[in-house]
Amino acid sequence: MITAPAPEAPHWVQMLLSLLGVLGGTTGLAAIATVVSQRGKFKADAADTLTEAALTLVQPLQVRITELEGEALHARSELGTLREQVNQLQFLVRVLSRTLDRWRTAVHAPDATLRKIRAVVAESERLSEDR
Amino acid sequence: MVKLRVRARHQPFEVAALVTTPICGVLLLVLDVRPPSVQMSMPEPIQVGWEIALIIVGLGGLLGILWPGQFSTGLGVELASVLVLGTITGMYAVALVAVAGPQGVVAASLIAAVPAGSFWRAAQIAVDLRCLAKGHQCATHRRVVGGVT
Repeated sequence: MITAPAPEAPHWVQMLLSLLGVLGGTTGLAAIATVVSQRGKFKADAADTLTEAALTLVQPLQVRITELEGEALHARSELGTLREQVNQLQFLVRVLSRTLDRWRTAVHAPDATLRKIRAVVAESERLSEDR
Repeated sequence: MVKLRVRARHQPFEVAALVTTPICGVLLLVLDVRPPSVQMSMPEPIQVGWEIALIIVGLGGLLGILWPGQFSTGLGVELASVLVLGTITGMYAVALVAVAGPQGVVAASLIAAVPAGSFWRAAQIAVDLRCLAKGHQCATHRRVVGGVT
């Protein structure tokens, strides 16, 4: 391409290019050496990063699960107590409505007298005391 | 996941340069020729090193890109290759300017694009390596992890 008569470029160009070449070569070697010698670090750090990322995702979920499990347990025990209370109340309502029916029939009876009604009430009081 | 991100960033120009460089070096060796600008502006040992570096850089760069082992090692090999590629192409550009002067403007400026791109790519790789080393403190890396999970 260049067949100029000048046999050589100026001396400073040669110096500059030599310097550039040596500098580039050493930089490249240094880069390889650094990365190869730090291999373990990169691997560990990459793994750490992943583990950490996974943990940051999993940990809140775990906390939430524990919370929800506690809440579920609480709710279940409360449900048991309430069901028992409902049973008791149902039983009470049945007893009371039966008593009320009996009193009503006693009151509405054609031959109802105060004495008879009092007897019926006293009997139901006795029954409830027995129970 | 990191792999996908950086692999996807592969640069056609970089790969093309890395493929052509060793071909050029081998041709120079086999045909036993050297560009006059190189002959005139470099001392003999530097010329030899330059020629061999052409081959090593290209093969090393491709090896780094296709590195089968640990990803960061491959990136490091690629980093070294693009650094040296930038250096030797920069040397050639300087040699062209020094020897041909204004006549070599087109060739020198087009060739100067290779070191510019090489150092750019080297900076990218350095950033990627930093991300790999301190992953969670790096915004881009966190974005990748967040995007995947």
